[in-house]
This record gives sequence, structure tokens and C-alpha cells, in this order.
Amino acid sequence: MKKSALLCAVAMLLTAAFAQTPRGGATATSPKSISGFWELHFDSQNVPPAALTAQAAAEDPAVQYKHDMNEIRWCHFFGVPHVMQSSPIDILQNVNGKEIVITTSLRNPGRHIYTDGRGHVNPDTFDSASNGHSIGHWEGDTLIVDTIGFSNEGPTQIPGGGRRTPDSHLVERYRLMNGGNQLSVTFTWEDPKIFAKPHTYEFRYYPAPKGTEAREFDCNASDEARAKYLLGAPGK
Amino acid sequence: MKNFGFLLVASAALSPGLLAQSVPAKLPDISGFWERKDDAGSGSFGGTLEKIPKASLKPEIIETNRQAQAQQQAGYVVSFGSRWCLTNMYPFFMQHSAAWDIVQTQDEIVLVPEVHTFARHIYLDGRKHPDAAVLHMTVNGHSIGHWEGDTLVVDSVGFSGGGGTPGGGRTSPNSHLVERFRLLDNGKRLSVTFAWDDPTVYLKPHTYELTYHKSAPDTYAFEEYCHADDPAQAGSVVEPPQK
Repeated sequence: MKKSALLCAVAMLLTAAFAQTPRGGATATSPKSISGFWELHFDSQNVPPAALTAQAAAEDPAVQYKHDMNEIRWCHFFGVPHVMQSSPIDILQNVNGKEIVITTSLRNPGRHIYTDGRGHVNPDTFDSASNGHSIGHWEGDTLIVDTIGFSNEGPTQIPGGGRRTPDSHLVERYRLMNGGNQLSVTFTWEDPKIFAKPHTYEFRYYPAPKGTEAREFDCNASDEARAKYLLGAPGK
Repeated sequence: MKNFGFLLVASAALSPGLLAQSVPAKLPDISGFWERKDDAGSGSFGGTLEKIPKASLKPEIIETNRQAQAQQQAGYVVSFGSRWCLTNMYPFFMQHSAAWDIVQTQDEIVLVPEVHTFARHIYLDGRKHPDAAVLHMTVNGHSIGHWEGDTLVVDSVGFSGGGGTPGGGRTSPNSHLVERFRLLDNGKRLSVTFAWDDPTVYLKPHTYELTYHKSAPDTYAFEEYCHADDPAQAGSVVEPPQK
């Protein structure tokens, strides 16, 4: 009886360990596999209001809204944080452990997260990007991703308030939960002109159904009716 | 030992398929950034595509190409797609000068370009193409792949069409593409053989090979913007005919 209980316990542990692998496997330099399609559900977002600087708090929200809608109207790259609010996202951990890529259905370059030990590129020579420049490393079972080098490209509104600027610094922490049935991503933004203190929120993604496929949401800047809809008064 | 063997069997039974997924197979690692170079000494980057054999095209495609060439000679050198930064259709980024990145897992490979288009997903998990009735046409098509020895074979259908293919052809919703990815020179180069079949475009399958050089290990991706609202972009697009 005692032995069978032990067997069951170990079997369950093994099962839980393998269940944390949605697709693909852990690599030589990453202890966990977070590869696969992940989706946001209705209860996936815990986003408290950001503590903004006086300067940022005084900004007219209508200006930010107009900026973001204009970026969407012209089919500019979306970038972070917007791509992480897309669903599903597809995370691929490269077999050699040197890179992780996150793609979405948006017409947008994938997010490249370099996990080969490199540092950030020299900001003086880096062409800023909507996704910034991201490097990552594992601390135990948590993937830490550090991103700088953002451009003003794309919608820049940050969940909870504030906006992404070229001075923004983002740290994300990716961690599997509930036996691999959820992926927690904690986002912490810092930007001296925007946030009075670091702004943290958390998304919890669920594994997308087996067989999920990437879609392509195309964008046509020459479509005048679409432009009128996006920039005009709703319902008109 | 005996009990441990039982545990493995039990856990495998409880998690069908998961054990297999966690065991890395010894497959070629084709991941990383790849870029085209002028290997053939064409003298210009555009010239590298001139070396590709001409496709055997249907007469109506030849006529469409002739009309397009005549328009270009008349000064219409900027296409509607370029003016409006429309999505680059596959296989555009495979012949572009910008590097593109392969990220590889056992179940999926993604090709990530820098230009304004979508990442290309190649599923290796044994799935089939969707039935034609529900197949959603896309810029990159629907791609499934498998390994034959050291060669990745990728089969694609479901292209939305409208893209050009080297050699004078184009993509259409009827296009069927088979690609073969294979490392050369101990992984320093990557050969990709493209075989296009399309009864509305080609008289016989159109096959050509492009080779790519592995980029330096510290290569990082750019984002190649195209801003249709940028005065500089619009300024380069004077109303046709352009001189």
C-alpha cells in the first residue's frame, strides 16, 4: 500500500513535469519549455492603474488616442506592449537555447529575445524599434526578459496608463503555473518621464487548443473606408 | 530499477505523447539569421535573381508580364503596393537583401523576416493541410514540414496570391510550393530549393535554388519600416509616370 502510494506520487510528479511542456522541449540552457500558442482569456489580465509623473498625468488622453489610432490606420508596426495583448501569441524557444521568438497574427516583425548571453546593443548605434531590443536569461524556472531601445512606432499606450517612449525600460518575468496550464507574464515598466514609480501588471495566458494555427490579420493603408472608420466618429 | 521502469511506463500512459516531446531528436540545427550574397558575381543584388532560370509560363502570364514591363519603361516604376506599403507576399523576403531568422523547435519552425509581412509558420507536428473548404488563404500560405534525413521538406498551399516569384512567375490561390532546406559547408550556408506548381501560371513546375550565408553570431534583427504616410516616402512616389 505504502509502495503503491509512493509510485502514484512519483508518477504524478513526472506527469506534472511533462505536462509543463505545451509543445517542443526544454533546451540545454532553458530549464522549462514555454513554446507553443498561448491565448488570453476573460480573466487573464490584472492591470492596476499606473502611478504617473505629473508631466505624464497632465497629458491629454485624446492626443494619445489619436496617435494610436493613426498608427493603426497607417499599418505601422504595433510593437510592445500591444503585441503581448494580442491573442494567441506563439512562443518558440530555439533548439539551441540561444533565442526565443514571439509572433502574433499582426503584420509585425516577431519579438526576438536573445538568450545567448549577449548584452544590449549600443544605443548610439541601434536603430530603435517598436519591439525594442530584448535579452533574456533564466533564473530558476523564470525567464527574465530585459528590453530597451524602443521607438515611437505603433500604438504606444501601456495597459494601466502611460505610454512607451524611447527612454522606456521593460522587464518581463515568464513563469509556468498550474502544471503548465497557465503562463504568467509580469510586465514592469520604468520611464523617468512617464512613471512616478515602476508600473507592474500581470497577464496569465492559457495554452491554446492543440492544432491552433497562426493567422494573418492583413492591413491595407490604401483602404479609404477603413481609414474613415478608424479616424472618424463612431457610428458615422 | 524495476519500480522505476514501471513509473516511467505509468507516467507515459498518464501523459500520452508528452514524453516523446521532451526527448530532443538529433536533427540539423538550421536556426539563426541567414542572408543572401552575390555568390555568382552578378555585380548587383538585383542581378542575383537574373541568374534564376526563366519559368515556363502560360501565355496569359507572359502577356501580363509584357504589359507590366511596358508600363515600367513608360515611367511607372513605383508599384501601387510600394506606394501604399502593402504586405510583402511570400516569397519576397526569401530573395530580399535583409537577413531573416529561423527559429526552430521539434514541432514548429518559424521564419521571421524584417520586412512588413508576417512570420511564416511551418508545422512539424504531423498535422495536415486544412481541407480546401476551410483553408484560409494567407500571404505565407499554410506550411507543413518533415525531415527526410538532413533535409527539411516543406509543403505549402493556401497562398492569397499576387506575389512575384523569381523567374517571372507569380503566386495564386492555386499555387503549390515544395521547398527543401539543407545545410551546406558545415552549416555556413543554407540551400533552399523552391519548386512551384500552379496550373494557372506555369506550363511545368518551376524550380530554382537560392543559397544563404549564416550571419554573424551576434546578428540582431532590424525592423524595416515602410510608412505610407511619410512625406519622404510619398515624395519618392511622384505621380506616374515617374522620371
